[in-house]
Amino acid sequence: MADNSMVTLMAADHIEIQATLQAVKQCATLGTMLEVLDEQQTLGLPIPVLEVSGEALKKVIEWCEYHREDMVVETEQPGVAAQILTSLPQWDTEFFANIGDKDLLIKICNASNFLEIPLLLQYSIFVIAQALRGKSTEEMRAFLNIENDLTPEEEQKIREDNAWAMPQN
Amino acid sequence: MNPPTRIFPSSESTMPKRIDVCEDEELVALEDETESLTLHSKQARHAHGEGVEGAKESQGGLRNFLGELPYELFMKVLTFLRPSDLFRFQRTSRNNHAFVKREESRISQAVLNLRYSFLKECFLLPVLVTTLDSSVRDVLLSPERYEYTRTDKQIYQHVKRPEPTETCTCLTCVHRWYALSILVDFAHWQEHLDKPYCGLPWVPGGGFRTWNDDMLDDHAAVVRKALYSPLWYACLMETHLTSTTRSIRRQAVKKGNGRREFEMTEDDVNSGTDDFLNRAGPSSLNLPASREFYYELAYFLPTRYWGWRLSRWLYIPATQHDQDIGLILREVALRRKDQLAQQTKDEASEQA
Repeated sequence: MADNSMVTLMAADHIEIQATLQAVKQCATLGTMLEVLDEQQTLGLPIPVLEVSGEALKKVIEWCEYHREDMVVETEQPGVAAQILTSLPQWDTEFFANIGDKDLLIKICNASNFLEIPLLLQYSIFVIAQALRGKSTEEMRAFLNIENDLTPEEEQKIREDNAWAMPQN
Repeated sequence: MNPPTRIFPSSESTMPKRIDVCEDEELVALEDETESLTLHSKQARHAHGEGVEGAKESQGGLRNFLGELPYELFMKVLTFLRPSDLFRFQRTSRNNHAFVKREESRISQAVLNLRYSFLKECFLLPVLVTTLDSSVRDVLLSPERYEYTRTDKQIYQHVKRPEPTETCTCLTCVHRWYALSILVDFAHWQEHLDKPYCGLPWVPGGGFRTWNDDMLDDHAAVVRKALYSPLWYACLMETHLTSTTRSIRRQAVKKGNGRREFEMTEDDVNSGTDDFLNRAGPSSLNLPASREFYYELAYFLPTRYWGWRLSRWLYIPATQHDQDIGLILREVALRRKDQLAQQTKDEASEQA
């Protein structure tokens, strides 16, 4: 199969998404599947991606299409995570800015983990962490939908113990 | 319309534990009678939402945002946070507090490696007395070293002496204690230092307990927390990165002092990492002996110096503590030998 040939992916909700083979190969899970499978028997059939919703898969493939000519980055290498902290590329910054919905962001994170796309996974984790940056405890609770189950006494004690570390909370 | 043909079986088709062998009709359908395995690992618990705040925990029926992530991804999110954010996150709920406490060491180590890889080399922790070999501990706590280590003899006005029963009193560890204490004190005075014409307050003398004594106690308490808590230690590194960027900015404005400036951009400041500190620059090995030195301090990164031949920063190795302990033990052994010789001599002269 040529790298520019089209592949159909089918999400958990039966939504079909077209992608170039080159983009699909950014996903290690799908790339391995395609290598193992008999091309003649599978040609033209949709590849089910049952762990991922159509909405998330669409965004993941959008990312893969943009990065289809990039080398697959091994993010466990030293320095890669630090590099992300200093500069998230412009296109990727806009990609995540356009997502807007935090549930979709989590879905993309989980999808990139399932599909084994190391760089997208690292980026999405970084974007989630960035969303928490500088937030007060109360803002974090609101953002993460966390119910405060600490008693006022417990909360006061934690606040006192960590007063130096978080003067504005 | 027929449903599309599947290359792989759907998750629904794998759910019943029944294996049908269709290709050979002579074989009967196999029934898998083994019981499902119940996973008891930490990861499995986290995957089911225990500990990681709980995937089911909700507020007004809404799902917890991070609870949707598996354990390893949740951990990765936390390692991208700054220590101060981690402290605030810890306070969001009882589960999150317990989780960060439990995983404190792993999270903090990852944060330190990611954000403060150079600062942590400059500010190593003094070794705790409890972790020392008992023979070394006996020597360090012996009355012979009391004069050297007694805490009532205050040397500096801006930092408290280390407690000899808590941290090792070898030269390296005492230096490490002072470096961390100065880090805390330097951070405290940043607002004052940022304002030109706003001098540091005068410390009254006369043997009375003053605001400065209270402050030294508070600062020593912060350093002591860092001795036992990796998250507190990471928090000190975060604080010092802020102090460092502020002091570099301050000194950059003072063009007239003729000193070499340290190169730092706005992107460096915003990154929240100490990567830029690996660039060439002037060394700052000496400890500021008083607060007066803070005015002209471009940055405070003790235990490292620029190796011109190698063109990189060289750090005093962590093993320096072991060498110092070796020196102390040799010195004590020699002194005891001299004392014994003197004692034998005295006894001989008495008998004569």
